[in-house]
Amino acid sequence: MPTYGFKVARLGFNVLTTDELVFSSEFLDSFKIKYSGSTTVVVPAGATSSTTYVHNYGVRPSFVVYYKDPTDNKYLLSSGNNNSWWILPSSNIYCTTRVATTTITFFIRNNTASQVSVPIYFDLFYEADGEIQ
Amino acid sequence: MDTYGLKITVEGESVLDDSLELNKYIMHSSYPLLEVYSYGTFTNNFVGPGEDTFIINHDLEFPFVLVYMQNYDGISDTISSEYYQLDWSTAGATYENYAEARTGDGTLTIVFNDSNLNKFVQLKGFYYIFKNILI
Repeated sequence: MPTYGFKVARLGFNVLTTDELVFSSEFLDSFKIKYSGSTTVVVPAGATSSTTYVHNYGVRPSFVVYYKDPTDNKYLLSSGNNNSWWILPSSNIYCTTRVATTTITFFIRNNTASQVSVPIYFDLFYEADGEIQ
Repeated sequence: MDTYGLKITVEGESVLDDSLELNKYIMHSSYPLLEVYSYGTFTNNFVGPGEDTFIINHDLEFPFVLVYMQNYDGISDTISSEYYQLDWSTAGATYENYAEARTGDGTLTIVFNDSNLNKFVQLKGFYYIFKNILI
């Protein structure tokens, strides 16, 4: 049992008795943002395009990426569909993100008849490769 | 009235400034952090046709998870060197494959499906399970 430590309870809870903790020095880890960024990809009608951010971390960082579908102005979580040649019927614009030890690449597919500009917003975390850093 | 609490701001911002936006706080006792419960890497041989699963056990009920895994392109029979966030999918007129991360009561299930594959495909990935639960 640790002799010293630090705990912060949620507002309204007694830090001496509650499990509703915002932070504790007994936490294994909490995600820490290493880099927050945004970019925009211009994609011709019926085509694909990509852009790459070079992070040079030497590990594959965990990430969360959202993109804005300009056809309906909705913000969507980027997930994987890079290999699809058959666009999913539920989406006109699709974004895939893939990460390597030096880069993160955003791949956009545009299934509309017009050129689009797709804003992308992303966070890269210190936590990488299934380890806590 | 809230009598006690703790706020820590990012460098350069005053903790006494009540007009700060939330993204200027590293910690705020009104807003829990995402707490890592467990983490790790995996390598698994998946096989189709149909769904195949790889299960990671934990002691939580429906935790929030992040999973990243290599992608398998069944059309060209290639495995990516880069990792994709799950879920991913590939859909064609006569072909479909996908991988999903399903959070559950006591388990994180990595699901792989390929409509055509009849051999093992070895995929690597890593994951984080958070103590924060969905429901």
